[in-house]
Amino acid sequence: MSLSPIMDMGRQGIASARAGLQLVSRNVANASNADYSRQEVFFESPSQGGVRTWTIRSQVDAFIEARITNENQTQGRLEAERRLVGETSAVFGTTDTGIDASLAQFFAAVSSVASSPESNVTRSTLLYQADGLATEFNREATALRDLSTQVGKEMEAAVTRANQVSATIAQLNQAIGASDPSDGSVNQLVDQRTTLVKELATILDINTFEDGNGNVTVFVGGGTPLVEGAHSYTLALAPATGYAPYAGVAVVTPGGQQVDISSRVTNGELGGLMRVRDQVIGTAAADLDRAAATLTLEFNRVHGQGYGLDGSTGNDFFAPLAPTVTGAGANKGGTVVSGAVFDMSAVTVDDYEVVFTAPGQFDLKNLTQGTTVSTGNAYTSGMTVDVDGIRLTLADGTGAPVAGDTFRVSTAQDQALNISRVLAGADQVAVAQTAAGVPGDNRNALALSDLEAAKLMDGGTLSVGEKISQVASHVGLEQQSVEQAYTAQGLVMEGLNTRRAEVSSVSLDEEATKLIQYQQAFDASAKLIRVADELMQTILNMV
Amino acid sequence: MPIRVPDIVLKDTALANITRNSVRLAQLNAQVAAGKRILSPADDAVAYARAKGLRGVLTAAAQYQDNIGRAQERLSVAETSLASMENVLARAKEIALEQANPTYDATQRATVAQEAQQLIDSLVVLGNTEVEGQHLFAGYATGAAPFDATGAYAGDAGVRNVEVGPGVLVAENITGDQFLKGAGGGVDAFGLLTQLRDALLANDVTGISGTIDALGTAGEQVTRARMTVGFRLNNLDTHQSNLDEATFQTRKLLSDAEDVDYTQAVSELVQRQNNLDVARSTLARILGGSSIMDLIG
Repeated sequence: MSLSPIMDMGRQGIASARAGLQLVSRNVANASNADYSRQEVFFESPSQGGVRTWTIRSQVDAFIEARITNENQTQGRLEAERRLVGETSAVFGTTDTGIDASLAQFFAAVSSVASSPESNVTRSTLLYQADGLATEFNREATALRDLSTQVGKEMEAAVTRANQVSATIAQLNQAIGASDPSDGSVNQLVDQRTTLVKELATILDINTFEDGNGNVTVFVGGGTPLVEGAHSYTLALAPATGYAPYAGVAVVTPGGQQVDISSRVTNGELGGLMRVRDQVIGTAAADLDRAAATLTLEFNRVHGQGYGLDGSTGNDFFAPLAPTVTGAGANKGGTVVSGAVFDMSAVTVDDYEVVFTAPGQFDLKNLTQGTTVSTGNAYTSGMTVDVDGIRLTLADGTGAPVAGDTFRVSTAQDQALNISRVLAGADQVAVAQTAAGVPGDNRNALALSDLEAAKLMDGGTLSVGEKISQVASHVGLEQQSVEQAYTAQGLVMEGLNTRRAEVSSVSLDEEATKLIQYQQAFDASAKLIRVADELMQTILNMV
Repeated sequence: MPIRVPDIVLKDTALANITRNSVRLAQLNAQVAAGKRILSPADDAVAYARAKGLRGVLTAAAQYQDNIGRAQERLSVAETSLASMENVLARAKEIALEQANPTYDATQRATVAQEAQQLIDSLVVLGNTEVEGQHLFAGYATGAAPFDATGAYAGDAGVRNVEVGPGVLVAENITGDQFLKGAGGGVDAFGLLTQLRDALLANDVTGISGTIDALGTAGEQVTRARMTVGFRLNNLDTHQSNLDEATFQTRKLLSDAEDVDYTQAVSELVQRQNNLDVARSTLARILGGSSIMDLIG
């Protein structure tokens, strides 16, 4: 037998031990890297003897990684919701502040006027409390509007981040496809890509699958591709639909067209932001508007029937309601609709909708009551149509209407933002039911005081104050449930991350053991070569 | 049991425990410091809404108490005033009885007529009694004196109600035309006094004695008004005690809804603090702990 195979095997042994040592040092270096998956080297013994590196493999449980990607969507959504709902509920103040408290003080002032109608002090106090109440309505409404604006900025940032992440995933797809699979370095690229997919999942709902070539394909919004092989598409904020002035999310196709996927983005940060904006903030703001509008309308109605100390009557206490007309974001025609009150006694706080069923024909609906006011009205530019004390003027603006165009008419819209006291002075407070000269007549003040408990809202089931408390408590319940879900989700994430770490994280104890093992193998292989060399010398010396 | 426990798992688990305890501890600290269990709606949305509602009830109750207080003040003044009117009318009846005696002569009666005029003046002043510029017996027309020097009534018959509860109204005023002018069936006290004065001046004995019974009726009329005022004061007292009781109960409900239970909060605070200490020392041990790496020399 020749001695050279022994030396050869020694050389192979050293090479393998070196490969093992290299991997130990890589693992140790990444011991604190939470995204790193520890790698292991596997050797094989060729039939002619010796040893060689067979493969270097990352220790990854694909099932857990997929679960983390999945749960990250919920985690991302709950993080956004928790932050935003928390800020929303803070708007309504503690238990002794907010519109409810201002409203109670306002009506106490009304009752006080009724109890001392002659007093200029109680009348002036009422005006002061009315200003305080209006300011509180304005403050809460402004805060809610600012939060919706803030959501827009956060969505923009999230979309930018998602675009960066998906572009990098596409680059990694390419790099992974081009790299030598036998080299352990590809494992780190895969780790990096897995981390990015998980990050993308925190932003919006995604579906992923890995094809036979090792490419990860990412779908969003049900089935629209975001990353395909080495190519990625971009997300953008979509223009608002409906009457809300807020953006949605769209995928930009290679042709530059935007595909709106808002309705199918229900998870991740973007899903959470849009849900809270539309369902929590939007609902609360609309309810406050309606409460402010109801208070304005009914208080003015009763106030206008009474007489002030100066004998004046028919005065508005709060600035009177005026209709706001909003065209839907998707309107294609150029028609303009405007409205004005012509009979305040018939005005309601309902929302109405003008729906063009054909270019020359429109329906009129009451959105709040869910009823149809009139159908098949013929349209001519410049015409007017009346509904509940409001006169609407419909006219061609930049063009004629197009079938499907809709307009919403609302007296309540932004009323919480706009409500203000307009009554000029204390002498105009309409306390009396008869004309001047009877300062002790408090009958109209008592009628105004009755409005506090009157069930004016929600089909006669709630008073204005109860409605306002309900708004705050709804947001509170939302916050409570989001907090609970967030805590539960935190435990889910903790469990999954622990399981991932159990499989994939580096244990320094294991690495130390391997370090010694490979060092010994290195020493032994070196000894093998030396012994073979000595044997060779012995033979040579025999000559 | 897991197969492997990498170092990062130990650290993350210990850290998560610390975070959990710290978060709850901060929450408890804030609750104990504020004395409130509900610092944001998230703490208990239902109790939050209830507390807001109860605070509204308290604001309204305080206003009703204030209304009652003002009404009581006015009614007390009215009562005093009515008592004085009774005295005036009683004195008038006394004069009439005395001067109906034929032993008096014209000169004496002329002198007494001056007293009768003074009684008229007093009754006018009393009928125009005011509190903070408000004429109590003028109906709604409280801005001006209801009686002129001759006793003619310029007020109206307006009944002032005071709000003592949500939608609960209590009539507060009595109008001078009723108990002094005989509106709605009764005698005209001013008319009788004028009649008495004029009869005295005219030395008309029949005229004088003709006022005696009617003056008695006028006095009773005022007494009945005074009793009405008394009933109203009693009624307001009842409403006031009811409001006091309701306010007390509402405060208790409010406290149940939003105040912190100190015993419970503090005991949990101590327990959480202990947990936190343990979790911290565990983490310190893990961080300071060695691996086999340290043993390789």
